[in-house]
Amino acid sequence: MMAMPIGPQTPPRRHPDAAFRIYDGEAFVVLPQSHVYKILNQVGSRVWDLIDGTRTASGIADVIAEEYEVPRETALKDVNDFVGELEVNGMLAPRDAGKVA
Amino acid sequence: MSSEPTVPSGSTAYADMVVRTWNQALPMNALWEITYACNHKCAFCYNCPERGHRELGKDQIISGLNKLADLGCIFLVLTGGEPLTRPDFFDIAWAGKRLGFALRIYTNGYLVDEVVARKMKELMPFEVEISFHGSNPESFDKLTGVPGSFHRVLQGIKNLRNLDLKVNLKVPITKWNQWEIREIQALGASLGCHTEFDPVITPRDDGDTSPLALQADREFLDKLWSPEYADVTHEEAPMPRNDTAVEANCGTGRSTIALDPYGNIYPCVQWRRSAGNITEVEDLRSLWLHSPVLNEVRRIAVEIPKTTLKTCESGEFCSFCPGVAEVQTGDPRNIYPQIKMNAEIRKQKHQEYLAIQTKQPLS
Repeated sequence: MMAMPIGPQTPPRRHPDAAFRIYDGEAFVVLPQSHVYKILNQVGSRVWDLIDGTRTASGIADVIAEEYEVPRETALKDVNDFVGELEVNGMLAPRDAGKVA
Repeated sequence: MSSEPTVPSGSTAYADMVVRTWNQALPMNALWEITYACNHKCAFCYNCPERGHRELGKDQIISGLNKLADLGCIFLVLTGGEPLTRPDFFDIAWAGKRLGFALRIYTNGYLVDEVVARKMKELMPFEVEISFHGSNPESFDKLTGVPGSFHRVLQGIKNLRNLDLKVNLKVPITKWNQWEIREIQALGASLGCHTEFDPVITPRDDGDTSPLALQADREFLDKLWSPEYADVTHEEAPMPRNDTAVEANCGTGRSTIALDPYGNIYPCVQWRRSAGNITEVEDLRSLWLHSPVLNEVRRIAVEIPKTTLKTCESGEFCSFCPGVAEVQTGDPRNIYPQIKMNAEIRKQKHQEYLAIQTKQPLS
């Protein structure tokens, strides 16, 4: 089941416990709270990199549309779907959680 | 979009990434013995504190952690000695956390009271691994050399599990606990812990072979690798090595960068050929990839499956460690007795398994 996408005005944030590194352009993400690993493909890794707690999904889609030369509407839909997938997988901070220092 | 972002979660993607990083010698793991101080006196411990050497201070370790993060390591193992004997342990661990490491904490559990357990929970490590030695106070305390350690460690595990932290038990099998591994496994399961057994005892890092007197005996190993203990070994029967995915014998110089309390850099925790000191290294990536010591280690590790293991009659059943071989025999390519015995028994059990399969094919 896909979660409702984070709203266009709510910048997604990576889960504060998620550890990650980029290997060969692919993000390897470790989730200590659920004891699982996730590997993102190259586009997903770029989106993950852009999730910095300040950019909205719309802002991320702007970058993706430019870098990958795809229509903005396509990029926005894909980014929204992907962010929803990250949320379902517990890779994002809960929406109502405060920022972690 | 040419390729939509996705989150594959199957084990194949992970295995593929591990093989790629391994073949490129990009270490995903850093293991740091942050102290040799310990509150247990295990008769089989391999650590060798160097008299007169000063262990690194907190700031030096944190500076080193920055270099390990730049190198690309994602898992950080904090071990010892007993890492929790350092009063600044949580400062170091939090520094690692802030640098984006997934933490693994190797401890004996003796100091894990409710306060420490809560601090661990706040830290949210990927896992805590606890050395465990027996199913009862007699065998456990005999192996640690500390009366009362069984009950203290057991309580430490319970304190962590009460907070739902993942705890794995690591059990070196010795002749003092070999016949109680079933009970140890049951005890671990009752606590919600996964238990791993290691049947190979190693010499001390300085070459002292006295710990080998404690190794499990042949009669026990014969049982261990039989189907009777399949639930413990997690294999229906011993299977030969599969050296097709990676050409090296093991991950030495590839998968894990190891450091001692003085900052010396090693290709793994077992092979103590120092490639430098983290406090003196400006460019750790360059050292890791181009150090003559590490290149030599990697070269030998590639040779071993084609030489040592080919000439050994039971080589395909050897979990060979060149580090142990070097410290015990003086040459990293030499088969050493305890691994030879295990390999011979594993091969025999494999052949017995094949014979049964031939007579009674699986329906």
